[in-house]
Amino acid sequence: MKDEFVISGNFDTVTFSKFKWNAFLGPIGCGKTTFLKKITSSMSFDFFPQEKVIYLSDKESYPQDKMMERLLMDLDHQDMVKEVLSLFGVKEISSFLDHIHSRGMEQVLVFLYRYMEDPTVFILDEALSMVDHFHKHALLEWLKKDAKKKKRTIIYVSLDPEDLMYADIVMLWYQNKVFLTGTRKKVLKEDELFRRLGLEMPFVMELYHKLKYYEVVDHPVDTIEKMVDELWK
Amino acid sequence: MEIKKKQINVVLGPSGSGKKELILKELKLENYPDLYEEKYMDKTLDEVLSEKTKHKKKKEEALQMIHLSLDALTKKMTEFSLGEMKKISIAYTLCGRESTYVFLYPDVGLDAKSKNSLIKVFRLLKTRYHKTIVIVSTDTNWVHQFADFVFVVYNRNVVLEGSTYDVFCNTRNCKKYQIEIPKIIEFEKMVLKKKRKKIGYRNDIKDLIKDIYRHI
Repeated sequence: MKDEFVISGNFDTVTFSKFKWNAFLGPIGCGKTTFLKKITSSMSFDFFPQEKVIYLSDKESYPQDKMMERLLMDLDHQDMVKEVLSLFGVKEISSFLDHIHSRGMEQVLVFLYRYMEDPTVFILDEALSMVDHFHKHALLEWLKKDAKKKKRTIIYVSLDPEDLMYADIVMLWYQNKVFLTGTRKKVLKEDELFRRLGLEMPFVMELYHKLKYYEVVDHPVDTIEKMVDELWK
Repeated sequence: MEIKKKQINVVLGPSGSGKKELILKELKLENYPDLYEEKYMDKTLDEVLSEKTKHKKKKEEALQMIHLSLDALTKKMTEFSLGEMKKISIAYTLCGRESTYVFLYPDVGLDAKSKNSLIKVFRLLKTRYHKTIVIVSTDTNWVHQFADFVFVVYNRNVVLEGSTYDVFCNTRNCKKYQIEIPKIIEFEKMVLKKKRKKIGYRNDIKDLIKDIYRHI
């Protein structure tokens, strides 16, 4: 199908949805990173023909002056960079370096540096894991909108259950295989499976699954506000 | 900044606010070991942990506490996944005999099961061994479950401090200093704002369920 990337090799077949946010979730050591490294190594062209693939891990790093130079010199992306930096309270691109005193802010710089290359498939493997949650969610919200507008495919790996709320498709990994895949709504129904795999659900979904036993909610909602309205109609 | 002795102290703050520097300065530590450094890559886990203790039993206890198999001792550092490396950093800290244990971002790269085990380890260190624990983290939802005392760092200064209740229930200050409000408190505040119902402060979702059931 043209709206999918079907990746197969000497491992399980994995299908990504094009132009969507594909989230990977699984216990530590279940093979998510190994799989992604395998498909994004020198052979990535075979797996993603005619696509510009960028893989970003949590350890990615480049010389800061080189990254800053691109941020300052690439005039085509100035508006985008300013928009993202404003989420972090940075007014001028030139002053961004003064804010980089931690690995979290360095991850933001690396994110921008690579995203400016306009990837059509952007893979973030715990790439924002050190960014504080307050700013990480602002950045993910921005990425979700931008990727949708520019028709980019996002493959996102994170162990933070709240990050799942940005996903269109969720893939649950276990022992080097995709155990379950489907829309976010479908996968988040499987509370028992999450528990058995040692994974957490986003807060509002965990609340829903616990409350449904008391028969006080009958359908899942995706925000705290909607849950409150649902409970006290 | 006054670290509370024999308590679980948590340091929060936005990225780049100077949490790590402040803690290292406060505890007069020169640096925090980074096990990803090149010098460790050729070594086995046993050799790395030997930097902290020569006692085999102590190493094994540390590994057991974080649910890593004892076979891991003979493995090279390059053989571990990111999550396992995070567990190893914790074991490395646990191998020491300090009265204060410092953990920098111990939750990053860990799944829920491992994070829950870690909470048990912190509680054990506090209650059985009477250790002082200092944790730097960005995950307020996680630390809210077990922290005794919270420091919020902003622009290299401690701007808020107190119990989890004092710090997190002050949502205006949390927003001001860019701290994510734990979801459980966000829920309670939303009920109060929209429905004018006070369901109370909880740090466990199971208790929250009972409160909800009582108030609907």
